[in-house]
Amino acid sequence: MDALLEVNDLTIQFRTPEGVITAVEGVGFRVRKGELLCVVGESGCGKSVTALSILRLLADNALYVSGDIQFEGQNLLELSEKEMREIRGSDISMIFQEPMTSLNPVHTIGKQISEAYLLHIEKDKKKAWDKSIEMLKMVGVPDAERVAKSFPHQLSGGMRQRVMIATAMICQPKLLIADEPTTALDVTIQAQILDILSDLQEKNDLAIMFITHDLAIVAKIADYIIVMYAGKIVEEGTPEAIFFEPMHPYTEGLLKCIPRVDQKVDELFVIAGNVPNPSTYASGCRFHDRCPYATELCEKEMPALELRDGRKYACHFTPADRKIRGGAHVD
Amino acid sequence: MLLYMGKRCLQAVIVLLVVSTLVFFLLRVVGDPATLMLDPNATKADYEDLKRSLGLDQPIHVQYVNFMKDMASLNLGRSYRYKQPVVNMIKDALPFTLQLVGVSLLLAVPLAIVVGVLAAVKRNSLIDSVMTTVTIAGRSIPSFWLGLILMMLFAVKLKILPPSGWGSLKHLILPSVTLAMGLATSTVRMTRNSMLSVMNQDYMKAAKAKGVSPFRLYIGHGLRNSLIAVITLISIQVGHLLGGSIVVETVFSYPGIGRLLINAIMVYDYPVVQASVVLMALLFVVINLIVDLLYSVIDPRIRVR
Repeated sequence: MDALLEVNDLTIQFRTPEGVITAVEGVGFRVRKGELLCVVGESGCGKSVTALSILRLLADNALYVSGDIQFEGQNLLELSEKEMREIRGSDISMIFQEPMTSLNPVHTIGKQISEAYLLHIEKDKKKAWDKSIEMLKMVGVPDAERVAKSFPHQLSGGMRQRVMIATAMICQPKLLIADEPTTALDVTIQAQILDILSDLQEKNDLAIMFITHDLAIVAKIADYIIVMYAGKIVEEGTPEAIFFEPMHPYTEGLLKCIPRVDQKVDELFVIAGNVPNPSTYASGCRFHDRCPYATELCEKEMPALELRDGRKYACHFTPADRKIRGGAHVD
Repeated sequence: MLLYMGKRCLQAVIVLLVVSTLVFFLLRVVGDPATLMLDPNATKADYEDLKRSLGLDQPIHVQYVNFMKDMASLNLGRSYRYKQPVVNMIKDALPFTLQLVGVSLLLAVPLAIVVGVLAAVKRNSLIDSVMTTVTIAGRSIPSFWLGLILMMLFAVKLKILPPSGWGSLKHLILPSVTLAMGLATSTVRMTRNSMLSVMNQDYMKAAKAKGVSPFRLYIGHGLRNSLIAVITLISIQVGHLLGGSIVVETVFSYPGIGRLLINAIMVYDYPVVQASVVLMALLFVVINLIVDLLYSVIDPRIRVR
């Protein structure tokens, strides 16, 4: 099957006063039409940078060091800024983590939703306004006419995220990049937003790249999962594979962090240590100082992301190896 | 809205009361107009007569009550020196000052906002550094000095503009440029900094993700959000502008309220000083009220209750 979006060997660095920081290194993945790809990882693992890099929305000090981003066979990194603007908001659109701050406080909701439509599809303001009301209804906003005339500060967080989705969907994009769209919301609202997204995916054959740190959400919606750690992909696979048979110690740790109702626990599980600072990456596997199974090899040599026994992960050892050796602690 | 306006008007009245009281007592502390008005050969009796005719022989609290009564009934009295009603003198001078301040505002504000936005968008570029240097220089130069330099350059050396006084609109150019400089430079700084903080907001990224052009991004989405801070600055600066007009009008012998005030202060012309100062305070209060109403036009989150 043809990939709608294909990212190959993407490396992104930031020039900062403290020196060059590598935020994303050698990342590659593909999103097919109608597919929902989840990118999972802790804060600072480079998942948001990856998301922003696709639409070329990174700050001025970002540097695309290597790789390409193919969208429908076209390398987005080679397009001019003007060509890029044609794609933003029409073929690829994006929703952001903070619905509270992602809407412009001085413009009405209707104006903000219809803006992309006016830019890419329809010149008539009245038609665009009507379309924005239609979009509001589609994402389940009650009293859409009134909401369209109101300002962001008059709406709740959940409503604002619906507005963001309506804004992103108005031009019927082929790909929607959702950067932690539910993180800032209440659990009940989270579920509603996820339902809306799944619905859109099905009805419009929409491809979604869903960025989150919350594995629990991923289980419900993902077609394919990428786990990122410290700027690199450490494991990828279908939800079944990832959840039932995690191959990488980091994925294993992430899964253990999800508390379960059917098991009595005295203390919640945490992965010891912190995400390494991108400016001080040591040699070797970036997870080694937090990994219960780490050996000398892990400290010296960075494992590559390889396909082994039908699974793709970046670890020197297979789970079976690790079990035989026994780790610092294996439950 | 009505309640709000009522409250603001009450505040304005209180401000004017305080200002008039201050100016009344300060004037009476600094000097005695009668001594300046008499010729050197005058006798003690002449002096007493003059004081009586000016009403300055009465106890100070009586003078104060009379002064407040006069102010309340808009009876501004007569100038000690020119013997004509203060109302007429103010009527003659006020349009000149309004013209000067108005033109300075029109010169400074639009230009400064454009330059400020440009400096923010092209931050750390050559344009930005040049702007920063120019604005710091502009703010550091005192207006009386700038006025004299401009006068020397354009009036004395190049002879393309009149040095001072009033006769035609040409006479307005040098004073208004001098007066505009301070306002313009601080507005540039404020616009730049305000724009920079707005440009980091999430909604700017979200707008860019929709495919809007840089112009639309910075002007349509960014500028209006930065204007709140800029307008606050301008409302404060208008006070400085009114104060600055005193200096500039004096330097350029420009016939406005500022010069009227300075000349009156020199000879302790109480009625003129009192009326001019209260008028300036009134102007300041009115401009602040207009600015506060502007806020709610610009930012829907600020709604007047």
